[in-house]
Amino acid sequence: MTVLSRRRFLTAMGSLAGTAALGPLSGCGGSASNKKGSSTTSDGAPISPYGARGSTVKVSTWPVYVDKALLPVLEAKAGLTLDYIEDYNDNNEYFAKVQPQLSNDQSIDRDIVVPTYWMASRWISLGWAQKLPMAQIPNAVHLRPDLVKPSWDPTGEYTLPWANVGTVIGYNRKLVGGDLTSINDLLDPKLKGRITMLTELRDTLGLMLLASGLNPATFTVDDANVAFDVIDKAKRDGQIRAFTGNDYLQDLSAGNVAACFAYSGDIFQLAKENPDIVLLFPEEGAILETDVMLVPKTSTNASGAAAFMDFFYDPVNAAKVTATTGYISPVAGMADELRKLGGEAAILADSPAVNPSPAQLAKYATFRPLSEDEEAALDGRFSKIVGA
Amino acid sequence: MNASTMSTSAVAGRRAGVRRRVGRRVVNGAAVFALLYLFAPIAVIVVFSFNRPAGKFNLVWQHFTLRNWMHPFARKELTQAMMLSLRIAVLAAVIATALGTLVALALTRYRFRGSAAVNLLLVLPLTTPEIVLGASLASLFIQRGVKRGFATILIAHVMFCLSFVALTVKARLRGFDWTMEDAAMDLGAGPIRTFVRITLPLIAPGILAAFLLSFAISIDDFITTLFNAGNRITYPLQIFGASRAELPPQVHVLGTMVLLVGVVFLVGGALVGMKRASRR
Amino acid sequence: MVATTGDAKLSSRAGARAAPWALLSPGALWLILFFIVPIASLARMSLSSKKSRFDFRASFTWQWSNFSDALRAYGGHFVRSFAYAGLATVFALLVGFPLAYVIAFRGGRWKSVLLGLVALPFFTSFLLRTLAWKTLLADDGVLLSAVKGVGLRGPLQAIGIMQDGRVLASPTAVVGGLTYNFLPFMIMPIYVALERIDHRLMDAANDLYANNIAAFRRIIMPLALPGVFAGSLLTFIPASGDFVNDQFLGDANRKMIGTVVQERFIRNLDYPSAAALSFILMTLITVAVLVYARVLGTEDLTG
Repeated sequence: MTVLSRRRFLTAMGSLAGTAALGPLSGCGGSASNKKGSSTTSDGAPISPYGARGSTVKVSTWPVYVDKALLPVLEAKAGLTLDYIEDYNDNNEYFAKVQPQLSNDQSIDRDIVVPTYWMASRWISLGWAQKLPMAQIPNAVHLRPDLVKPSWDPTGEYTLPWANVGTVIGYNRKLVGGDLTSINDLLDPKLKGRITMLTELRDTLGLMLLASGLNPATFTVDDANVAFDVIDKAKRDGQIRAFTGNDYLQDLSAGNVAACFAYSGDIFQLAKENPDIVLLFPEEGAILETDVMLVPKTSTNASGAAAFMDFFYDPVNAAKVTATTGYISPVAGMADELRKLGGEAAILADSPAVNPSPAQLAKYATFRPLSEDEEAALDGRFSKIVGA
Repeated sequence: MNASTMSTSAVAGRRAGVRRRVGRRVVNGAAVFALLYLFAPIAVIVVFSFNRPAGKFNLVWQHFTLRNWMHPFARKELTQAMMLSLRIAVLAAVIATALGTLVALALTRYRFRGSAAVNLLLVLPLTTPEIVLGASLASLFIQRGVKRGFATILIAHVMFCLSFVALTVKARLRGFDWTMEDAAMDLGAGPIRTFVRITLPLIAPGILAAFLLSFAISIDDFITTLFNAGNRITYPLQIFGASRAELPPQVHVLGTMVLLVGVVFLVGGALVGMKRASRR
Repeated sequence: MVATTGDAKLSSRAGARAAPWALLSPGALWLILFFIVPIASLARMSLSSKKSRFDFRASFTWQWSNFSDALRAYGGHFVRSFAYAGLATVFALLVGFPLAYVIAFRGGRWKSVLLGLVALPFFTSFLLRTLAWKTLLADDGVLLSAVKGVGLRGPLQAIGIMQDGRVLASPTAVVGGLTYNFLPFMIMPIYVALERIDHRLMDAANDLYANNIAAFRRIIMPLALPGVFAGSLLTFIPASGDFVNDQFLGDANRKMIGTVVQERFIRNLDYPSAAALSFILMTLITVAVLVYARVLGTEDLTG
């Protein structure tokens, strides 16, 4: 007991020292705690080292993004306490919330945050992310090959994807009175006031670029203005009921909204509850995004964060998460585990929405990176449309 | 001639009576409508605490169930948020009541230059929209590098509760007979003794009302808190988050529980009031 | 603190002069530090500019254009917010006055119970009540099904209460929600004012005028006026800056200024323009309050 607590104390001191070394400018500050971590796992044990045991791991993530039954399993296995907080509702909002703290090197009381890839890239460039103690995440080897060293984290040292999210269309067959096939179907006057679009720029602009036959991966500012004009007109005509964050789910499930821009897993989950709800991969295409886990620079429990990540990169657990949330898993070999689970989960293994083949995955468009000025210009126009 | 005037006035009188009775009915009807309007959404909250929603949102009626009430604390995050809100509300109410009562005492007990300015200072936060209160505090905290969290929520809540307390207690103290205090001191009681034995019991109902008001305002505050909460999640913030992605029936159960506490207060207060009225 | 009161009592005149300030200072200091200073900081922010979009620090540059830009972009939102808040205040008065009147004059022994009922909504969450309206007014909900069932859809549509067969996501729902949420703030002060009216005065008025309407106009209205004034302020001020009703019940084309401020501040990191908008809102409200006080002839704001 005394030995254990002393060791825990020492490790805590170690990780504290690691964070102290993280000046606002030193991009490689994470390596201190990194080395410390790897030395404690010299035996290469699959479970994270002592540093995590007995500690509390605080995770900020999107709502309904996990199989909650797994959380106590993780706590028992890794011997830590999990504070799983579903307070990540909007990338910009979360950024605005933590920015003053992180800029002043004040703790944000979180060990893992799950921003969308483009926001993660901003965190990394601002020096707000720690390098992950990869040695403590042996399961990271299961990362899907196409996600290794991704564009937003070219060295692959700061982030591990949580899930791919398809920005698609969800609709209520009964309220629509039939089936939809395309993004432009949402602009049909018979759906006036019964559709919603998303407040995230890349989701709504991306889909509307596709609807106009333009490519979100290569578009120009002129292209964007074409799409914005369509959105603006639809809004002024009263076609669009609201621009929403996650809250579109509320109106879709209450039957106030007939069709909307939506996230694939959300619609997958809602369809399980309501047979009228349909997930549509529009004929013009859809947008693919990646939400990634990173450790904020002020976290003193990178080891605990590593234990969390390692747990969910175990293909068995990844399969369970996929079966509940319906998002595309970044974990290779997850599909085999889905089949082993049997029943409904096994069917999912063959669903292109949940487990797309590389060819199917390629059908999704990815929004191109934006410079700060471009982002300011696009955001300015978009927030004017949304905020009026 | 005479008789005819008599009869017209009688008719007029009867007509006035009818009109008066109709007017009475109309006013009563309007009052009933106002009560129904006040209670329609509350009925929804209570009814939906017994709903078994089909999915994540407890917004469409499905089936009656007692399950939510058997497991009112099943959602850890809701209970945690409620506990945080309770802690803040109690602390804010205690601090605001203490400080606000002192201000009210100073304003009613003494005449002094500057009291008009203090009165204005008390009223201003109440005539400022909450969004301005929230934004201004947040802008101060952000510019000064103050980390937003428990302390900043508390600071904000005490600030707007303080005005309510001071004005409520002040209203109660108007017409208070200060000669009682002088009499007590003339009889040899020390100032503290005088305050505790004479003044406090007399103004206690006002202080209690102010305390309850502060508590109620603090526990339900959303707008100012949203700007100054940092990473802390109070109950209203939790509901706001939940309303976007998942609205479990426990939200309605906890809401109904707090409502029941209110009903207990109300019934208790009414019984005391009636007893007092009948004794008179 | 208490001891100071006593000391003042016992000792010199200087002490007596210090006594109120000793009692006041903690509370007054709190208000100065956390109300006046923040407002000053907001004023400074409203004239500042940011170097970079991702920087949260703003430097003070006498950026008056923040105000002109804000007004140009969001002038319509101010007009709309004040119109909504004004309508909500009028409706709250129309709905609330009869109830306050009945409680004050016909409440009898039920007075305290009825008053409690008016306060009871405060024991449930503001957000939850607004969400409940969403359930009540849902496009396929109880209320709208009933309205459509009895053939009221046409007429309601004609007078603009319904739009495209719905109430949600329309000004009707927002104004209805605002009216609802601040109704108790209207009822309470009116009740307090009416309660003070001597019943004998009513009887005398009835004898004199033999007509309730005349009695009401000549006697009750003037005496109820301070209550109406206070109630209107307590309804109008929070309603004009509210964004919860707008976000839950409103639509994409008719946002209120509160929503804009919240979005600018909480999402877009545009603190200077959010501050400028807040300042304009505060100023306009102050002007509105002063005009209203002049019109009603109420001099004493604090009561």
